[in-house]
Parts: sequence; structure tokens; C-alpha cells
Amino acid sequence: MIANDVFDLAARQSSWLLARQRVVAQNVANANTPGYKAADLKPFEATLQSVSLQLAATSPKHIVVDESPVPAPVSENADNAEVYYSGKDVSQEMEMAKAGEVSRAYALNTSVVKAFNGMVLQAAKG
Amino acid sequence: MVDNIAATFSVASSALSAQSQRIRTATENFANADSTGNSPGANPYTRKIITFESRLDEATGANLVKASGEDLDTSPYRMEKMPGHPAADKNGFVKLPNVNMLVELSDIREGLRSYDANVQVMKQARELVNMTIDLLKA
Repeated sequence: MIANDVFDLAARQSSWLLARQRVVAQNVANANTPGYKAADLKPFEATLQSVSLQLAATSPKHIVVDESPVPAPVSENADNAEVYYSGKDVSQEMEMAKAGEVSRAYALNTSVVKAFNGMVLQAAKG
Repeated sequence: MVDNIAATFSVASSALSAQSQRIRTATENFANADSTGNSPGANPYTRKIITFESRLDEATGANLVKASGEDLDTSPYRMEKMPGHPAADKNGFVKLPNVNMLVELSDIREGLRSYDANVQVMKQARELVNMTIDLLKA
């Protein structure tokens, strides 16, 4: 069912967005800390595409699944996206822009979920 | 998921308390900009400096900010010739605090800006929570 996939994807993105909000809060809070470098999350797409489990091919007879034709496997939890430190000092403006981006994306995410929820409900009611 | 929002709030509130401590210290310096000693040759008020450090919070895994303590400014005191002053040394010079009011004022202002930014982050996090709750109302 497509709606299930949509809910699943939306949940993943929302947890990624919340993780990003946390990183932004950390940057803003440490803006005056000497030696602190700004952090950010790996982009959501990269996190989503990263393979969580791959069977090891220990013998030449093993079939290695080619990743490209099948839909990319999804990593288990998007909020564990890798945090990297940019090596730059914190710029308050950039952080505010990032927080705005998170907020907008989250609003879009929740309204998509709402719309699909309405559709599922309508289908159930008949 | 809830962890991240909780971490956002704890990071932002740690910054709020660190910044308010900074503003308090700057205000203290500002208020004592003319506090001299009261015996001949005594040292006046010494400017305090606050430093911040980033500390990993074990519970949430976030980098909280902490005002790590007050240090005294080691720059020399201002000297002014006021022979009648109770704190004047034998040459008639009085040691005045090593406080520059302009520096303190701009420090207070910078603290206010940072405080504002953190409040903004908290507001935004609350908005995210509200949006999530609104899902239930659909």
C-alpha cells in the first residue's frame, strides 16, 4: 500500500528534521564558545540511501545483489544521520536560515501526512 | 525523535543560562567601573571575565554550553592623580578599575543578541512540536 510507504518516509524525514533542529540549537548555543566548530547533518537523501545491511559474499558462488535496479534500501533510523563538523565558526545567520528551512520542511511533511491520513480515512469510511 | 526535541530544549536553555550569567558579569563590571579601594594604595575592583566551554551532555548526546567560571582581568589598573582621595598613594595617584564601560556595554549587547537567538530556536522547536500534535487533529 502506497500510503504506508508515505507514512514511513514521512516519519523518517521528520526524525531527521528534528535531529537537524537539535544540531542547529547546539550551534546557536555554542556560538560564543571558543574553539567550537559548527556542525551539520548529512543530507536526508544521503542518509536515506545509505545501506544498512549487506550480506557478505564470502564465496565466488554467492550472488551479490546489485543495488541499482532495485529500490535503494533504507537505513534504519534517519535521526542517527552522521553529524559532521564543518571546521567553520558558527554563523548566526546561517543557523537561523537552517532553522527556518527545518520548520518549513516539517510543515510540508506534516501536511502531507495529514492529507494522506484524510485519504485513508475516506477510503475506510467508503 | 522526542529525544532530539528534548535535546534542543536542553541545549537552548543551557545557552540561556550561560548568556544571562555573562550579562550579569558584564553588569557587575559596569556597575563597579568606579569602585576604588579605601585605604592608601589599595587595589580597586578588578574586572571579571567569563569564559564559555562546550560540554557533552551524556543523557542527550548534545553539546551543552556552560559558563566555566569567572577569571580576573590581568590588565593594569587606570591611574589618576587625586591627592585628596582616601585610596591615594604617597604620590597622590589612585588606582581605578580596569573596566572600559564601552567594552562592557557591547558585551551586554552581544549577550542579549545571543540570548535572543536561543529563544528563537526554542520557539521554533515548540512550533515543530505543535505541528506534530496537530497531526492528531487531522
